[in-house]
Amino acid sequence: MNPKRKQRLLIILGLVAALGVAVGLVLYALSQNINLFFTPTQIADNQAPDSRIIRLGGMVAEGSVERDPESLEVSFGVTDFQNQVRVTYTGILPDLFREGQGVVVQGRVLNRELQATEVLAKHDENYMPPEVTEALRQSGQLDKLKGMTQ
Amino acid sequence: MIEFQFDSLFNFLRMAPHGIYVWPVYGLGLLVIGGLAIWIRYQHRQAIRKIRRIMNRESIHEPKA
Amino acid sequence: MGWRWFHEWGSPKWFYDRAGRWQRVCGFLALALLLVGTLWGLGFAPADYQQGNSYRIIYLHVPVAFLAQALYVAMAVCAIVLFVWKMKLADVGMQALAVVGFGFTVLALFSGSIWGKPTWGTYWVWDARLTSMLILGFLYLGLIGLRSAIKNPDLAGKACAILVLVGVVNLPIIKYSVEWWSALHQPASFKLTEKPAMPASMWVPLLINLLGYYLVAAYLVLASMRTVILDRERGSAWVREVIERD
Repeated sequence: MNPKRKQRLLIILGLVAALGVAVGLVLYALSQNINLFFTPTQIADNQAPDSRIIRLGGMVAEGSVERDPESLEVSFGVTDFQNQVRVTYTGILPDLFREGQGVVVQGRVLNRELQATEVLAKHDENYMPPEVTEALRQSGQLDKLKGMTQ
Repeated sequence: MIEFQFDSLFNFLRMAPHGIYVWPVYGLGLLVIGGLAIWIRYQHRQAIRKIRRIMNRESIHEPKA
Repeated sequence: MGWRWFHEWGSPKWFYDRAGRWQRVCGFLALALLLVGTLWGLGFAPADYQQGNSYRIIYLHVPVAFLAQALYVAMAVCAIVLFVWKMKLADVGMQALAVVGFGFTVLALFSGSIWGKPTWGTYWVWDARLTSMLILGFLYLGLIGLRSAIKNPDLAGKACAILVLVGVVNLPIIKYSVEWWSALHQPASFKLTEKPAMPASMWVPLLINLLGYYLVAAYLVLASMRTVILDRERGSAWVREVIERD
């Protein structure tokens, strides 16, 4: 490569790097807005704005789902294994909703309880045929696998 | 290890309960990629036609001796 | 190391002839691979324990989303080659890649959106992954628009190369969006350093389709580059020879 070309290459790479740093700083400053949801711990620490519409993300706590037999009203705990927030919701839940599943719920926090207007299911990056899951469950390894990805 | 997962062609096409999501995605894929391929071919023909026109015009105006 | 191949590649005539042959090979291979991979994924791969059959969208969504980013990387390489070596063919490559990349990005967005409905419960959410992918789409669209807006081809090439290089910062953002910020989209199932998060009966057809879509993209880019070359070199003697020969 002749010196002139080398110089041009260095200028370009320098400019791209500088731009990257600038964008990185902007994104870091904005990171609170880029995050899609708050965690239960953040809500327990009062980091989430009160009585404004926010999103909460975490796992549906095992054994916490209570369904009203008369209506579509359902209540469940969302946990990050440190804190738990109670969520109430009226409506149809997504297919993937179950205990131990990741969810993102949108709504208002009132009296430390979240009244949800939308419940979205989050799924992890693991894919498995049902028979394999069954075998793993019987040998008690499924929880280990799940624990790894959370 | 590899076997057909559906017991009939009908159930394959139905892909219950998610056929209404899965098939449109693949249809859209065919549409976008096939559309691009056809559009590029068309552009190529247009480019050739355009050059032919220019060549014809020139050969009329400047007949070779 | 010889630089001869590099300069040969820069010759439009040489490239036009070779690309015609490569294009055909890519097209046939792509067709065969995609037929096998897609049928395998749709009919023969096992269903997922959580998502059931809806996960079969992965056999289009993941390769296409991957290609949408890979084509941008290729475009950035072209932009650097254009600036440093002033190679005209790199500009032709940029023009072709923008159109094909836009198509793949649109497909990735729509397939993901349709997949989102049965799994997440929504078609769209403004999380970091989906938003940065949408920005990629606008970058491609901006490049197509910028080129058609500037009449002078040399100037248009330079302007596009600058925009391409500016947009490169979006690529790490797309890749790490699900790790840096909380998002609805799950992390990648494939990492170079780890075993894939699915059994072979699921990832083998996915790999076949990834190769297939790579070759489709190559086919489309080569075909589009040949068209652009023909149009740009329409005054030259070799183009007239090619057209009279056909």
